[in-house]
Amino acid sequence: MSLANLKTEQEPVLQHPPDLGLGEEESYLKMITKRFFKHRLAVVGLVIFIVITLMAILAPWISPRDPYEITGDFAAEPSAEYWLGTDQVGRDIASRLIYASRVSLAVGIGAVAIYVVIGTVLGAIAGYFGKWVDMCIMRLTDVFMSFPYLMVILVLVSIMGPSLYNIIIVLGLLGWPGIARIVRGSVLSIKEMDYVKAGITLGYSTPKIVFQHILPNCLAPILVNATFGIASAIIMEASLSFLGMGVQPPTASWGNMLTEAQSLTVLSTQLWLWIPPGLMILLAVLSINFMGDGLRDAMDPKSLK
Amino acid sequence: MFPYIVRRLLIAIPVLFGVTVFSFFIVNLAPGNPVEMFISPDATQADIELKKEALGLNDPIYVQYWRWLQNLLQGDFGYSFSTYAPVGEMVASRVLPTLLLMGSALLLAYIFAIPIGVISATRQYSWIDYLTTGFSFMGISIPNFFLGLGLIYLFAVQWQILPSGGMNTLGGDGGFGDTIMHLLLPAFVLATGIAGSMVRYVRSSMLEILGQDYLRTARSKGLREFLVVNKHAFRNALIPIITVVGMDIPLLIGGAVVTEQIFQWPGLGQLTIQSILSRDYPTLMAINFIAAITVLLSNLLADILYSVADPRIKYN
Repeated sequence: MSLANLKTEQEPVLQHPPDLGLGEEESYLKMITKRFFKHRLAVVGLVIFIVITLMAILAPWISPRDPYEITGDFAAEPSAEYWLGTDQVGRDIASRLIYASRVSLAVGIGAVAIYVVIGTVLGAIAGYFGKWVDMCIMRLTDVFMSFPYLMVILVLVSIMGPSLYNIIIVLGLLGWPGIARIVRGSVLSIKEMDYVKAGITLGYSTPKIVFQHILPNCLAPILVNATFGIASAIIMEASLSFLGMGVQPPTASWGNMLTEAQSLTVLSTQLWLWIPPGLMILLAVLSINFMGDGLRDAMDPKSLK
Repeated sequence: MFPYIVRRLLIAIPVLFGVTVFSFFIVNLAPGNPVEMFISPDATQADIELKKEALGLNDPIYVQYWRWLQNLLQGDFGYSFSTYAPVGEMVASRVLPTLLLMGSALLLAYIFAIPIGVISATRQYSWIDYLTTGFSFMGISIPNFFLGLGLIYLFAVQWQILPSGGMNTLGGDGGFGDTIMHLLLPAFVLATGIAGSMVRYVRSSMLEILGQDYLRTARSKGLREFLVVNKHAFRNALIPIITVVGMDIPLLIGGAVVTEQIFQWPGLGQLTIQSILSRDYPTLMAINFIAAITVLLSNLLADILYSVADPRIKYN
């Protein structure tokens, strides 16, 4: 949330205008990739992210046990049998940790996919049509941005009933204002360019001009914002689940695995219950933020040479 | 400049209206019946209907909204569904602790983040730059609740030098020093995220300014580096940061919900969680409304300050 606003929001400058003389589409992509891989932290982030994704996909094959299986050992310490110990119900923590990566990735990618679509459409409409349409959409954006994100989400999720799907939907329906502003800004600056005017003169339909000719040029800031958005959605889900307003047990989420640590005895004597899931959230969010930073630097038009 | 401020204020009015509508309607979409929460189990259906009628819950939703809005304009937030106390009083007693917590967190964050960001920018790609970059990303990425629990574990359980929660020691004299001790951990937790993103902003803002021609001029006329950085560059780098301060407020309020819950800090965040659990709609509406107004006003203030600080902005 906070990082996403860095630069991209203030400078929705077109990222690869057609007159840059870069030649083919491929060379632009190649250059971005090259610059991304020069960003050391971004590469580290990418590697960690790939590992977590593999963990989520391969969960049934790599986890030592069934994450729902209740063994006879309650709150057992880490051992050869239970790599990271068991929780208070007797479930294997390592397995739950692995399965929980699915929840985090689903929320991150699902919610962001929804709001990128909403934000892009609303932002494009506002920017392209201007006047009262723009006025209405922007005031709506202001209203949505006035509410502290977590607070409204908390209220909405508790109304709709806390579940994985409801979290994805609520985060998706509330997250769009940032994207809408970026897209609007980009469209405003691009629509005055000659090639768009040429398109209008040639009689292309408005949707074709907006979606095929203008939007591809706002792709870079959208992508950067979406990357940071995934990180913030993962934190949001973890916070909700931690508060008991998110993914409900027995389904494992990194956030709800920490809920028990609110009791002082668990906190002080059963470290294996809460430190591993906490570190997983940190690692996942950190890796995505590093990737976002690398993407932003790679796509920054100011350093185009 | 004055017309600009007036125009900004006028734009805020429809937004304000939207905020009231939104906060009223989402809470009223809630399933479940608040009457059930405080009526005895053996009450008859007739009793329940009577109670609902008395609370005005049978009226059409727009009538309820209009009544709520009218009362609101008179400073009346209605009565809590769970404690019967006037919502205004309930919320008011929570405002000060939250303001204290958020204020200290902001202060703490900026005191550290601004100099660190400047140093990081002036020594770009040095080890100190990499170190601060690493730490600022950690600050942004660590969930409040994990950091909070970790700090409680270290400071309250292991070393026993700071209290684990609350605002005052139970049965203590409740002095100012005591409150400060309770304030340290939650304020630090809230400050980390804010400080992390602030360091990034200050750094990128400074880097941009440091590359400007007028700084080369300042250097070439023999100005000491210290003056170049702190007088010429820093002041200009601060201008875009004003907007960031405005954007930090909603982040702080959201973060306060989780942080107050962990540290049992008796503020608005804790009240939010309590109200959600007891389906106390009037209280929830009031908190959301106050939070939204705060955000709206702080953004307005940031915009106006920005226009004052940057003389290049035209008002038309």
